[in-house]
Amino acid sequence: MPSFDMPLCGGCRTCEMACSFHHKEEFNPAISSIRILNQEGEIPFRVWLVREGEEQGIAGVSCDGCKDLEEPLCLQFCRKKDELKKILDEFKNSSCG
Amino acid sequence: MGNKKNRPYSYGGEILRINLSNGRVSGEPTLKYAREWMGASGIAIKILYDELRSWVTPYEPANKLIFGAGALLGTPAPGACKMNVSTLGPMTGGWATSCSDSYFGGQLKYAGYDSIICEGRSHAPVYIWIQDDKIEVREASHLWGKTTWETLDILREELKDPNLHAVSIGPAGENLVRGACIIQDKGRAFGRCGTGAVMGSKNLKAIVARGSKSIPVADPSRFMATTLRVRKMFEKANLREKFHQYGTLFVLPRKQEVCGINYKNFQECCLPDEMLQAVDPRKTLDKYKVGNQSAPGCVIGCGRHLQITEGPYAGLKTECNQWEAFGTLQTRLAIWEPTFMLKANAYCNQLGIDVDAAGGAIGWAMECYQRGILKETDTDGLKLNWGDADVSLEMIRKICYREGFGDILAEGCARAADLIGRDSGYYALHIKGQDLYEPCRGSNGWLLGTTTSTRGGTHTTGALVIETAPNLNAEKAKQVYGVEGLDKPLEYEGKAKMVTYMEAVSRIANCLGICLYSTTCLDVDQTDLPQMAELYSAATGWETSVDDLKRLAMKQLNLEKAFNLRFTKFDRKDDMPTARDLAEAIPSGNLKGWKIDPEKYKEMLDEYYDLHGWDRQTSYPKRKTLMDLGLGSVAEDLAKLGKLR
Repeated sequence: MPSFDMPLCGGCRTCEMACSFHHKEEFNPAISSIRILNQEGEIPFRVWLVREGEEQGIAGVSCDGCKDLEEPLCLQFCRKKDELKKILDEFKNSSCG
Repeated sequence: MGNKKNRPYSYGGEILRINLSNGRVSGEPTLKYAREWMGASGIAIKILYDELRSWVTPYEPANKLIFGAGALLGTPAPGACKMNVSTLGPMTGGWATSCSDSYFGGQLKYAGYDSIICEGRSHAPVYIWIQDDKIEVREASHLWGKTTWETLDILREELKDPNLHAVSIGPAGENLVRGACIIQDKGRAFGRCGTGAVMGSKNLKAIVARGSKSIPVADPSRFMATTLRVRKMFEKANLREKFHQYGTLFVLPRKQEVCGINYKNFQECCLPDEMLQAVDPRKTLDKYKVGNQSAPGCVIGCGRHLQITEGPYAGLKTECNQWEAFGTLQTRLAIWEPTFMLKANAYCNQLGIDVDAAGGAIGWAMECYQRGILKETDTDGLKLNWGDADVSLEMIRKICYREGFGDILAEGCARAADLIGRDSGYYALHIKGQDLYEPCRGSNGWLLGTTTSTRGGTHTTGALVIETAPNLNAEKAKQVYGVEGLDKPLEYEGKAKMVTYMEAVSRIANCLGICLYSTTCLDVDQTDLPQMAELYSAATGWETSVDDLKRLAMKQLNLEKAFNLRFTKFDRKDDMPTARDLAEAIPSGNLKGWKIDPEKYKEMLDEYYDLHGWDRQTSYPKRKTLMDLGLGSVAEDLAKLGKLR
């Protein structure tokens, strides 16, 4: 499941803009590999990371871990980067099987 | 994706015109306005000035309601989260403009649009659904009567997308409550001025947008480097962490210190000590917070989600209010239950009424009741006692449904006082017809910005918000504002110059979609005009200097002024403090005995007019001022009205 609760996330979605910029040098959340989704319940937001193609109605470019950068672009723009980093690491490890 | 020839970088590209009378949808290129008027409120004032003839009134089909996304909204430029809505408004009868952070606005940009001009009036309730190039005006009779929260939930269900964003009105807008507002999603408001009533007069319930296109910038590496550099600046901003933790509610102790709290309808300027302890909103937030809530691209993140678990409003799940709701409802009405601010704010958002329009009218009524001017025979049997939370909530409901006495209060305190008479006008604190939230004694730069605002009494278009901020960096403030004295709220010197600077900051921020509270308005180490110029230049490829921005801001301000001169009788007398603020000294607290010096105020106002190139006696613009700004035709218009100097 590419979906993670992120208790400290405020839903600013700057990561979505940063990610689309990483892929296409333009701002377009619709193609971003990271998506912030609203959810009911105590934690207002969850992080969705695109593995491949379209899943559960969410399409976007697959997350490549920003291999060509020192630090993933989404992390550079996240105010709660420690929490997001854990999520990215977990995603990366789960993708490797 | 390449850039179309007439689509400027950083913009959506098109201005939509939707005629609700005949359903026609048309578009024109944003480029027609973007270079000269920048975006959002700048484009709106130009269109409204050109297209609204002098006989148009706020609620008729000929009025136009213009939603405008900021030029940088949809990019990660720091704080670029805002959209604007502008119209001819019912509160003042003149220029009505308001901003809100807006995920809806971001989606509008990604769909390819910068502004939506809503014209005419639909025969039956409708909503507008925008998906990229597809624009539909859809039936909304099933939504009419619903709160804004219910409306969003139903639309997300109906359009099968739980992450959709919308702007909508509640029952207050439908009932043409003069202070009705427009709500973005559930917790953000386009406040003041009554724009929600104009939307209701058009039978327009909501607009929903979803965009899948992209926004390119002219110089991507320069833009991102500037963005990251400006984001880094915020690490030095000494108010940022408190702001993140509590929103503007962190100012409580300071406001108490400087007598900047509205207690019992401005009868007092600070709270009794026991009450201060009881209602301290920071404790309430610590207790009930369940999550954060930020605006798009924001580097501060001042909102939060709360769940109340005890007390009279246990069970309520809501986003948090800011200081304004606390001051205009909780303290103004002297209510001790600390969660009241959350409940009242949520209720106002659901029903779609501006918190100041609610607080202003109810506060006036409660004071009149206190003084025996209003009796239970006037108030539908309700005892309007200070501190009564249940009565306050019931009054909000009656106002929004125009029920009984609520029908009078729905007109705002100024008109309510006219309707009731009995010399109640003294207790109706308003500027240019707009209910005041702003306590105006003890802070002269805040006062001057509030009284002179073109949208009616308000603190977000020029008032010196940080005049009373704690730990103000006075050195840096002098660099930013160009003059000393920001840290001396009781002085009159230099305030006119500082307000003039803040008028530029607020207008450029509005056009770019940058949140005012992420600028030097709140903290001198935050985004200032040089950073805005840099971001805009990198985004659009149009090299823009700080002087360009200042000139543009003054051009807009003069057009707003001319707009008001066409539709209202405002002149110098409407740029004055309220009778109460002039007559009464601060009654208690650290500044007990301090009173506005009317002669010094007049000198300060004279200096303000001189700086703007306006006539001291009337406040009307001088011909030379308008000519120098390229507004020669506006000068001719004003000459015909007899309002040119």
